[in-house]
Amino acid sequence: MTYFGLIANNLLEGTKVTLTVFALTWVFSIPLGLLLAMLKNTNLKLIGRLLDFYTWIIRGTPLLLQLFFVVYGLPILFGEFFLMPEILGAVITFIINYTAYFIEIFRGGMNAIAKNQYEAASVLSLSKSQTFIYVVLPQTIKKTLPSIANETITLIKDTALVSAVAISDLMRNTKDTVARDFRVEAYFLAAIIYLVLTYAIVYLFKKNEKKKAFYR
Amino acid sequence: MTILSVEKLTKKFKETLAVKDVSFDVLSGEIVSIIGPSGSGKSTLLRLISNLEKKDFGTIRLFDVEVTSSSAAIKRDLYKKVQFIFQDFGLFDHLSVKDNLLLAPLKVFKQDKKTVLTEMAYWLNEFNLSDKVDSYPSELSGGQKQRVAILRALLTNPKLILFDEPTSALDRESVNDLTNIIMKLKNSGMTILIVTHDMSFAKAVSQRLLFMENSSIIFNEYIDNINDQMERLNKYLG
Repeated sequence: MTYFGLIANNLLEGTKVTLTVFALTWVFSIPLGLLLAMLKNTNLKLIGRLLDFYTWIIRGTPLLLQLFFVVYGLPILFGEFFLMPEILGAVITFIINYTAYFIEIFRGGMNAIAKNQYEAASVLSLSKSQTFIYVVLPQTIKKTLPSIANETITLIKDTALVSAVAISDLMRNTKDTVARDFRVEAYFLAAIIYLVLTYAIVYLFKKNEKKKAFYR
Repeated sequence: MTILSVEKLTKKFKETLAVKDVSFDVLSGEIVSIIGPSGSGKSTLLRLISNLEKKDFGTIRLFDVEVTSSSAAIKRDLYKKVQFIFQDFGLFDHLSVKDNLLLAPLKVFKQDKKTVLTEMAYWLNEFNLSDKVDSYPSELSGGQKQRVAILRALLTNPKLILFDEPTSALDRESVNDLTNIIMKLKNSGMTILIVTHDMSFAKAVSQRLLFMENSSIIFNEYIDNINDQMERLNKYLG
């Protein structure tokens, strides 16, 4: 077996962990971001302030610091209750972090919807929830698709940070392989795997964008 | 029967008086045009009537019910019978013509789908839009968009239709189409209130003209009387 064959297994095991962190973060932070963006756009001032504070903290500090804080800091501060498997801590941190970015993306998308769309809905007697479901949501998704694609690609690459809290993801396994064998092929293989993943995301989003390109 | 009755309606935007002490009635089956220069407050007046703006003073009665003092549920029911055709048409950009037309009848008015589809097909044909049913608004001309907007309003079975500057985004041919459509609606007994600065269009379609200047209505007269007076004036001037 070639050297690539020998290390591939180890790296693919790591890829599974990478994809787990990625998928869980994506699946939870997008609906959460959408929900909180809706709340932020209501007239509830207190909620708006709290969300402002939340996005300010999260977007203003490094994800790596947040990761250390949740995985290592919380148990020290609040005791064993917060001692959890690293992977769980990492996924929670990623969801909290990415939700903050998605809130801003969705809020921008909602604010970009023309006033006449809301007025037309009102004249047609659509209720607030019907206006959201049939008018605001589909237009927001269409408008935010490119930003969501960018954020998704960043997410794939950001997952490499979990290697810093002893999680055996693609990055961690690559680093260990290089350290063990003192050969750099693993770096190249890891790069190829990351490229395949990001390319797949770009491809899927492009396809979806084309499907939604029927209106401007 | 009085469909719409407006009394001493007033609206301020900060310090600017947009609509001042406006009173008038629209009777069932009437076509009334409000004309006047831009900035005279006529579009604001129409938006007040359609509940897109909140009034400061005065009363609006729809179908003999005072609107503002009514409960939210009654208000909602009243406005289900009033449609507004926007100057920029207000079609939903992400929906096809068909979905634009069906959204309110099916989701809000809970009409029977088969009946709506039949009615839709009839009007699409009437409005020369049958081949556009799967198009999106961005693929339509101004006149086509407007006809879709009118049709979307008609499918909710309104008793009163408000038009905001309907000719401003149209070429001459589309204005003629619009005139024909409004005459068709008139023949079916529809009550229509139009805001426009296009005098020849207003004269062609309406029975009565209201002239608005500096936020007030300064003139309210039936077209026939206006024509009589013009004739007399012309005779007098030789």
